[in-house]
Amino acid sequence: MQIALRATLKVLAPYILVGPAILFVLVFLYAPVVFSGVLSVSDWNFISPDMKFVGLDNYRVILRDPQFQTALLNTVLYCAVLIPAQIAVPLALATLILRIRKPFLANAYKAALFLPTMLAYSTAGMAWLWLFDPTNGFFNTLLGWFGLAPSRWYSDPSLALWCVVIVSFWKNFGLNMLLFAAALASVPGSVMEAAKLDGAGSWRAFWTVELPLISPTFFFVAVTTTMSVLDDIAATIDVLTEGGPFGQSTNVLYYMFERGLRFFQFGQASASAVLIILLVLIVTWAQVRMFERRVHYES
Amino acid sequence: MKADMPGAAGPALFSHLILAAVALFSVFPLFWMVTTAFTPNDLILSKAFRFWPDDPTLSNFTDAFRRYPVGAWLWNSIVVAGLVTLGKMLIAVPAGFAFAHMRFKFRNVLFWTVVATLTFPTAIGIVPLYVGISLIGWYDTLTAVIVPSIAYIGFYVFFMRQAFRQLPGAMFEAARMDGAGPFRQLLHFGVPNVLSPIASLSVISFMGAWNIYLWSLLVLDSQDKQTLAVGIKYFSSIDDVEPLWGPAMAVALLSALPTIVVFVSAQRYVMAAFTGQADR
Amino acid sequence: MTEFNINRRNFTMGAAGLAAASILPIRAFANDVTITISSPWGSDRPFQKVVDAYNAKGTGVKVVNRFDGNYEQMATKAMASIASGHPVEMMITGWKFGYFAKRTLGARDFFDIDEASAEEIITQFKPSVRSLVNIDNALIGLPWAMSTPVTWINMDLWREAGLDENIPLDIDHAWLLEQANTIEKALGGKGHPTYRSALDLSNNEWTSQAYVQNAGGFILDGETVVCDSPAAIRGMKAFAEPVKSGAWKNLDYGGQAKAMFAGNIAICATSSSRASTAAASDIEFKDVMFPSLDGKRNMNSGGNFLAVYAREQELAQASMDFLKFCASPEGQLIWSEVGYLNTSVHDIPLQPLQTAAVAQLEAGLTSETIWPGKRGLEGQSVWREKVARVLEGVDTPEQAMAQAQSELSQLISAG
Repeated sequence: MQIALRATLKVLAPYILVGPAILFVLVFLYAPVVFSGVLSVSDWNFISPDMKFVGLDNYRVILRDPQFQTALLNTVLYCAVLIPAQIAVPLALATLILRIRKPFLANAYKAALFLPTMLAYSTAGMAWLWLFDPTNGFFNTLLGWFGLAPSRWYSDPSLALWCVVIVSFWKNFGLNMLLFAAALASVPGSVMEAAKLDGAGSWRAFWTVELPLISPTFFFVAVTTTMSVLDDIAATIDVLTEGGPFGQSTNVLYYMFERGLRFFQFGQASASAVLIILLVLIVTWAQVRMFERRVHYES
Repeated sequence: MKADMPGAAGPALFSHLILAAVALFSVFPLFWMVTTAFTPNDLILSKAFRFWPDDPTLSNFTDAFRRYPVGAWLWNSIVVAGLVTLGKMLIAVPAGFAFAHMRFKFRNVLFWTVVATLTFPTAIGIVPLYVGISLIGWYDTLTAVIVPSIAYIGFYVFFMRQAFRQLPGAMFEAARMDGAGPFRQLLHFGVPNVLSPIASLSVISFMGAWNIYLWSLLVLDSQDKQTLAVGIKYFSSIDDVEPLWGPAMAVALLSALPTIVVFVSAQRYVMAAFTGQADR
Repeated sequence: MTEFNINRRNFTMGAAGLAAASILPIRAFANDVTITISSPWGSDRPFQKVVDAYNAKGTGVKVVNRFDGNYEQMATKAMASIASGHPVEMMITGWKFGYFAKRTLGARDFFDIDEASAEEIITQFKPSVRSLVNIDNALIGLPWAMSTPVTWINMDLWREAGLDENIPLDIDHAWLLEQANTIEKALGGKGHPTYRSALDLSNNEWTSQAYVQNAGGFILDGETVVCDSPAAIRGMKAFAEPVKSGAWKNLDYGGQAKAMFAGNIAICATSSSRASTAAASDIEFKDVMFPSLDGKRNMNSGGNFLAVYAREQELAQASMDFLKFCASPEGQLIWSEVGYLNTSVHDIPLQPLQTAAVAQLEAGLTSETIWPGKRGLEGQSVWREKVARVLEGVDTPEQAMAQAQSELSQLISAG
């Protein structure tokens, strides 16, 4: 009897070990996504008891909603600006830091650049809200010193989105810099020496030898940065602008949040959630395809 | 260290200039937060500009605590970050072990089911989740924040599998020969050898959970149930009164300190976590 | 739109209720009950005093005032808590969200809770304001807070710009613009330590409504959206005029409140309920009437009511007990410090800086836009968006009002 129990336990063991992980992702991640699909074809606000099937109406409504169109356009803008910036700038900074000979200074730079990464998005948002304050904020004081007129910053429809971009960049670039610095430092000096002996300039050596060697880091940074630009930015938007003025700084995720949890249009919110999932799938697929052949995994 | 690029003093100076400028950009908002936190609020509104107050004060901190249960927020943040981290470790470590060193049916399918969630935006399921949380009566409890947040374990399981893979399979083989069951193998031979990856992940998880914003904003209602990350927003949503930038920055500083302390004291592990991931 | 009108005559009516309320019955509750009120006021505002005074009576009911942000944030939070089955017992709601409170949030009918108490409470308020809280034939709130947009002048900046200190009470749009331009010329562009904007007419749904009405138009006529009428468009044009001339550096509404009390705005047209904060401020403020348009005014009022959401009878009863205190002369006297106009039948002395508000009240006030249907919260958000677009010059008033007309009509027809 006991032997039988032990044998069963042995067969079941792996499932017991991975069970909780599977259970958690199924219940809290997959199920809500599926349920979003159901809600996206229904008309429901949660308080009212009746839930109607409305087909693709919700999709029609949001696709025609100018606010959603702005949100979509902004999402593309945020991605187009932030993803390259949060990869290229940290990479450049990492190469600069590796040139610093004094370890103390190099570490000081690293620490300074990484510091913002440790703040919560809302805390970072509040700190910048104060800097940007159109009336007493530091930036307007600074402009005053140079005899320039104060700006309205996040209250200005043409600047609001850029305020979000700056805060988001500030909050995230330090982490990518650290990742690149660590990866670059692990490239053996001999490899670069060899490349130079072959007559490659340092710039070309960097592109043709060093960069391919750190491509796994590159891939990891690209994926996590994309996620953070799509996702985490919603918190910054909420603290800084609440999507305003008149929706000029919103993105699709924040649009979904507002539809669902400010106006309780669950159907419309879920429809936008489904569209976001499709968007993420496309972007992830494109990234995987792009890196598939270029990522060199060392053993 | 890698070989240096050509040129000597010129490029070095150039590097320093750029890095110093970027460091200023990085640090200045934090410096300004600290300055403001220690400047009396009415002085902040009087426009006499100063980089540092002549007589620093703690009045913003006392004012913030008088207005809102900031102490409770701090405690709640610690509870949320701590329990989310604990939960993630309890789930990700065994799963990582099983995926690395055991053979079982559906192993690959199950592994990718977990790891694919890496690409789920955290807010994607909030509407249905919110409905579910409300129906089971978790609304306005820290449980509502903690439990669903544990589910974002894609990266953690992937990372732990990599960590366990570094350990020689022969070690577990030998343990099995000696009659150690899978659970004994994990506890006695597995875990003691992956303490440093566990530490790395714990730090990352703690900092991540400290950050949770939109979801907490949604499911926490009572004032004393808020975490610091969401509570701080009260200071910017007050109409009709004079601005409270002093107390707001005092709370911002309180909210920033713990993660900075955690990071500084565990810097080695955080770096290992990220670079480990990147190199492998 | 003009479903009710408040004037001096009916303002003095309803004294009958006074006798009934002069002695407040104190009923001890069997168990100690705690009632939470979701409010837009923190513990440092006078509303807390009303709560404290009631708690000091020891009726067995303990009232907790909870600051939850502005009306919109409160409505959102209420929705979330009600949906989850854990509503707060009471909530302050803007009049503008009356339908939303009744139809979507399910605010309780006082007469359903306790008929006698309901009668006692409502008779202590002027008949003219009672209709505001009578939604779908149910009495859903204590109509105790009324305000109207007035003009706040920062006298320090006004003097600094060399303007005449004798400001008439009744001012006109054209005249005000002239003063604003003078201020901008005198103080603008020199890195003045506090001055930022000469004028701010409030980037929100309320003052824009006042301009539309002063021009002879309306936003809503019953449940029909009429904000695209020529008169309404003329009002919106005048409203946006100072932004174009540079006298008004447009901020969002929250930023404007901060700026006003930090001494950054010389002339600020906004709620008369800022009286208490203005009086307590270090800055010298003077209140004059909201600018008329071509000498005409058809001003709106606004405010909030205290509604009950508690589902359990004991909690609802306890809430009614607190409401009785609020309606009593004693409660109203403390409440008046918040800075609203007196809507009760009791004789309450005026607070400082209420001259302009009272003058407008005596001329008669319409209600603010009470967004019809279930989706009032969205209705307001649409209107605010259009107002902001006009102010920023993104859309012409004609375009924006036509857009608003079609979008609002859709929301209203949705129920």
